[in-house]
Amino acid sequence: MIKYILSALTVLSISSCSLDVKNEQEISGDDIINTTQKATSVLAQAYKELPVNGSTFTLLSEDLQPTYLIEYNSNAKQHYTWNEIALKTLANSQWDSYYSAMVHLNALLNTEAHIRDKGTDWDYIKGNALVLKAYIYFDLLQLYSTRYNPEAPGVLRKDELKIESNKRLTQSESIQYIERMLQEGISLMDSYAAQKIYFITTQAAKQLEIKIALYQGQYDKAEALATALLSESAPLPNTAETYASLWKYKDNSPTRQVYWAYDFRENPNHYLTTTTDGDIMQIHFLNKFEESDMRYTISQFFYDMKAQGIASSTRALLGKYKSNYNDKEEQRIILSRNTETYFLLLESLIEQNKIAQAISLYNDFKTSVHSETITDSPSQQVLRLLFRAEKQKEFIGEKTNYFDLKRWNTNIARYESDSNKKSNTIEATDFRWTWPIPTAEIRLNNNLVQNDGWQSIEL
Amino acid sequence: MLLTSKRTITLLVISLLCAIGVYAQQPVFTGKIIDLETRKGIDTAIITVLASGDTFFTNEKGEFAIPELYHSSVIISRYGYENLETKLKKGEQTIRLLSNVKQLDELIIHKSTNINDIDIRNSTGSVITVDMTQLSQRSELDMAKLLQGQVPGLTVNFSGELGQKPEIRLRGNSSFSYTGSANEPLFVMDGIIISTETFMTLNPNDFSTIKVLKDAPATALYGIKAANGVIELTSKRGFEGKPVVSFSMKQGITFRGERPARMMGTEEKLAFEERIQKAGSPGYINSAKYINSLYANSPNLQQELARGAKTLDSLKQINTDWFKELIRPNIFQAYNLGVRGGTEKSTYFYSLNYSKQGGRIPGNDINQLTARANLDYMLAHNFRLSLNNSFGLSTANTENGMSNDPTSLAFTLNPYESKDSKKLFSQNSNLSYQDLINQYKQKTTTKRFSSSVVMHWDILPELNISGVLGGDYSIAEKNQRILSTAYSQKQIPLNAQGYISESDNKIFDFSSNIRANYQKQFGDHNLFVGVNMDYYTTQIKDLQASGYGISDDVNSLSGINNGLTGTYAPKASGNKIKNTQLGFGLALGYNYQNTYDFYASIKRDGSSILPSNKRWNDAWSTGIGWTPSEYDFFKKQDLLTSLKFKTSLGYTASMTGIVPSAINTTYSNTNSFYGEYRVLQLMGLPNRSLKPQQTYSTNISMDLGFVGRFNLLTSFYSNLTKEAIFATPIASSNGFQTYTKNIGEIENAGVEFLLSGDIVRLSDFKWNTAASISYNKNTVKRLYGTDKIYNSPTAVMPEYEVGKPLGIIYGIHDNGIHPITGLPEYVDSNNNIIIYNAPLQKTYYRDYGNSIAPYQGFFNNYWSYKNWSLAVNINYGLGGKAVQSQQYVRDLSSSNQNALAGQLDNMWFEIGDENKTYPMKDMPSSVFNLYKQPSSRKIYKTDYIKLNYIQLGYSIRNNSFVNKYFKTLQINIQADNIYTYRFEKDRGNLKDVVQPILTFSLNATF
Repeated sequence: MIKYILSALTVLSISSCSLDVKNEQEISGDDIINTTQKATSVLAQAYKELPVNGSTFTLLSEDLQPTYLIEYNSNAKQHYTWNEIALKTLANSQWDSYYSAMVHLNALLNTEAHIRDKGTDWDYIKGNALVLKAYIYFDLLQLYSTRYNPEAPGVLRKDELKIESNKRLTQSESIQYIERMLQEGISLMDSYAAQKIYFITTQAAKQLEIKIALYQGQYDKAEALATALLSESAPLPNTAETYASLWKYKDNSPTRQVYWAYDFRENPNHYLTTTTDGDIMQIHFLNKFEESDMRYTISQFFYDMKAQGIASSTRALLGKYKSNYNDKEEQRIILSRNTETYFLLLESLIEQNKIAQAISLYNDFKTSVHSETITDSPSQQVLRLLFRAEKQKEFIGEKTNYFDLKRWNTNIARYESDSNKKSNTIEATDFRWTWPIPTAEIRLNNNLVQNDGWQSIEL
Repeated sequence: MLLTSKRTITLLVISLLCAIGVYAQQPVFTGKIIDLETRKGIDTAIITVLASGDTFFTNEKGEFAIPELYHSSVIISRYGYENLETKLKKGEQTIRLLSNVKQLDELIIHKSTNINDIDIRNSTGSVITVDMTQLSQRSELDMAKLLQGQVPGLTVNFSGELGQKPEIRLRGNSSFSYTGSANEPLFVMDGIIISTETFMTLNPNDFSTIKVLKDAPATALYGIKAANGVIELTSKRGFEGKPVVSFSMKQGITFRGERPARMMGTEEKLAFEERIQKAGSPGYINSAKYINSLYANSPNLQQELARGAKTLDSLKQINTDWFKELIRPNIFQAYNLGVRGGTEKSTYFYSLNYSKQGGRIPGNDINQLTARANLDYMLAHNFRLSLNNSFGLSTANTENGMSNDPTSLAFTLNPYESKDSKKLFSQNSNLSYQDLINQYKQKTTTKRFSSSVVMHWDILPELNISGVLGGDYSIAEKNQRILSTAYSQKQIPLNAQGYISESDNKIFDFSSNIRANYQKQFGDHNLFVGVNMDYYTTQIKDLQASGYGISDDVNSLSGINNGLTGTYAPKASGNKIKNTQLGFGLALGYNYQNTYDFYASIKRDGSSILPSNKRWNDAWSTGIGWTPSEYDFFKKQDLLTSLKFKTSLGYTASMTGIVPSAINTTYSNTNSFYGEYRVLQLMGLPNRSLKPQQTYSTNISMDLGFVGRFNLLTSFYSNLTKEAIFATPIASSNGFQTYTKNIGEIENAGVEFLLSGDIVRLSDFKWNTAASISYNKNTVKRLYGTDKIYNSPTAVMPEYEVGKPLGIIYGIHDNGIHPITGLPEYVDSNNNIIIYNAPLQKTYYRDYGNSIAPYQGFFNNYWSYKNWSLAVNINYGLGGKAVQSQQYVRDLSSSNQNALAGQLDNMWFEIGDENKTYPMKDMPSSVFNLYKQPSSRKIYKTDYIKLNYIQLGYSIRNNSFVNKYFKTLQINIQADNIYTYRFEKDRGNLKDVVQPILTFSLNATF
């Protein structure tokens, strides 16, 4: 008996004494990303980290103006008024998100040697990662650097999966770096037929090329690129149904109207709603749509909200992803669409003073949305202002306006809540247009200096 | 082989324990008879020689001397002790008797079921044995709370709510992260490793001793798991003889405890609202001042003034003390039944316990049911097998967990509001009381089952093999429920109202340990060699699912609405984690003439957490002991009765802070998606050169006995942790905010004193006392490549700095409120006034002390007079600092809620208000950044002296009825957590305000 007990105990205690234990909730190893499928999952994570929420840029832009409800949301109010501390916090969190996405793209690009099933699928994924990286760097360049100046500091380059403390590239180096990735990415993706709408597409990448040209003031190049892209794209949407369907697009393949839609899994306008009745922001009084305009009931919706002094008043609230106040359906965020190419071309024409071509293109657009066209021949400056106002209205609530405002080098006004009275003006020369480099970055990397105007903690 | 009965095993154990040196040439039997637990000599013990019937007595020190006997078998008897039949050895010996008044706890000595508990280990290592007989009578369901203030160097801190896990530390913090479970000791029950959760729900009545192992020789055999010390629990066993049934019951009341903060009454609150001019507040809109200004030219002025005064009067009739209303006394009950007995071949111990403790917060209570069966079998004269099974079921309910939970309501509701108020001004959206309560329910059920087999085989008299094999399985089920009627659900679509979340967390710890020991006496030399192999596995499996749209009469996941998408879509998650550890150990012990001890051990452990090329880590220890009191000259004086020195040195690696993702490129495999793809998230930048933390520990202790009554235990220790791991901040352009690396060295040095003894020892009256004080100082010794480490990128003051301790509180000197501006005035360390909107600077700050209290100790007293006994336990902590939260100090925006009493008088309202403590009602936002910082006025001392418990007992003896039916019968009245004296009144939350418990109990054995 004792022998049995002893042997049983011995067997039990010695069996399964292996120390090679696989953990079920994670995968580990330097060559662990070795298939295109796993690489796609890493790419998917990069997208998940990408900061696209409309709240960030829309609140800073002139798309909307505050209602009295913003007084109950001090964060949003500080954000709207470009409060320095709020901007600093925002700049930190956006920076963190962009670079979290970046570390996944670098992990993916650095694992190429380990991929066992390289083929067209891998080329698409790699190309996509390169294009997304270019997209992120271009965002970073626009946000954390001054308006285009080839010698001024540009982006902080990161290609490796290790701790680095690099210097910032100059802006011209940054542009070269971005364009190189963009070109390589487009050539890898171009022939791939089964592109996904929630990953950046070739069309969106080509749009990005035009934006980079505009950023540098290379209007002829922008015109050429935009014309080339438009030659293979669809006409503008011209019915209320097709326009409304843009914001509710559910399919996984890109269309000739929607190039890139971010898989957001929430209602994109959610940041505006409050627990009490109404939104914290309403459509800016300078962005009124004519009733005949097909966007009148799509880009906005009307809602009865309490107001100070009076019982209630009807306000125009941001629509597009929402058709009524109680609509909480999750929608994708449209990050790149056909219409934008028209506006990019239009801008390049106006800036080159090609007025006739510009008016014709402008009128094409106005016709498509059932809005009044222009018949006389305005000056370049008038046309420029008309174009800017129209672009703002068309892309209301989208990511575009803030970047446009910075490139256009204009002053913008902040308004008091529930009033068309300006509370203050942010001059085009204000240092806040260039976001601060996060304090952590400055403190932990001796190669960096803070952007002008922003204070750092002294130790 | 001579081992034939239980008694001889006893003798063997006794002789192994103590009588190591044998003076073979000595013609007489000499020695000492001592109490097993107190280790004090027993006077007038009767030694009856079996063959002749001759009797001998021990002297007042318990010593005896008997001339040469033909047969040396004797029976030793003494009132209050179990008879012991034994065979005297020639020469000096120590014989231990078991007390039978203490609930017959230690009737039999087995070899400990903790097979790493080697006798020789204890002779050089720092081991404190906690006697459970006193402790198990406490009204406390939580083992961790029982140990608070019982062992020098052991600190236990809790959060105040029932069922919450405390922070347990032995001799300070050995790593840079010093909160949470980072530096927890290892818990071992009857040789198997158990989780902290299991430890907390054990029944104190099931255990005979708890050993606290503090230094390297004591812990080295547990290897890398034991870097933070070990707590070993030994459960009670059965014994040979007729069954002894013990029963105890306890009934009592739990009280509210002191107030964490005193809030305003109606008068003050209304006056405060008027003064601060809070729009819409009853105190303001009904005030004469407001009405006069609003109706200045109106004919209704007089009417309105009268109405206002009337409203205020009626509000003043209400003065709800929400603390009393919401925080309530509750009941405490506990029943315990134990049976012990057995035959020569097998013994048993069964126990069953049920306890219930009601919390002070409505809906917060804890119920516990535990059962245990310990069986021992003598399968052969030299082979013993023990089976230990224990089961526990514990449920804890709480309604805390959302904003507006009952705890926070006690401090936000206004005194003029009542449970019937329809619209509460203090609450957002003016909810009613009914909207706020019964919003949320959480029930946690923990079921655990531990089972182990321990075998012990004496192959030869000198050689034995022992082994333990066992598992501890625990499953914690959590059910969280929000009913559709709850206020929080009103905002969401009708088909999504109602929420349920259920989670299962399963932990399985498997331990196996096989050990061979060889012990041999060569004349004056006693040699010990032991080898062991151990294997530990921990498996954790979590499952969690939640969903919306559940109807109120269903409380299962089957009720959720699976058709919902987006925010309200059903969610499922889970994970599986497994890690294992394999180790080989060697221990060596040597003793010469009972006077010199030497001990050394080495342990080599492999862990599955580490990559295969650096999997193996060592732990070693060595110690020496010297007992001068064994010398003849020493025995000639009576003042110093015993003296022993121990010193030890050791090294151990630790797995603290090491996870696979810190070393290797690791992606987490969660079930998040983007588009149609699962995402793989990179968990961190890998640090391929990450090493386990290394702790070097040294310990010197002196055990001094004087006049045979008092004992002073003094220990000095110094533990140096090298290669300490910390997640250091890195520039986020690297993709992550932190990077795990070995950053430096921390030293924990300290001294512990424990003085115990009998102050009075008369036949009817005894006074026993024990006092301890321990001091721990930790210092950051080195930081590799730097001298300061900041915790966050915006931190101005370093979290760790070479030469400074952990947990320093840096604050800004506060000059009080400026009488003109109404703003706080701050002064930097050069006494210059600080400008508000400049960014924070290092020169602003001064060092205001440390958040970790360095001094801890206790003072226990036990008096007995005839049948009466009285025990008083006090503990204290000194030298710590904390920052007031000021969460109940209101400004204009939060003044709808009740405020801290006295704020009305101490707040600045208008120019000329001097000597105020609280700033103006609506400070400009530029001041906030400074106001948030710890300031000299907000930093307070956390020193406390706590009256832990008082127990008054009466033991019924000399009563014919009782003597006929009971072996012992005792009645106790006791009060736990009675009173805590603190130096600071406003602490702001319920944390560390413990609940007093008053109980009446009956303990019987029959």
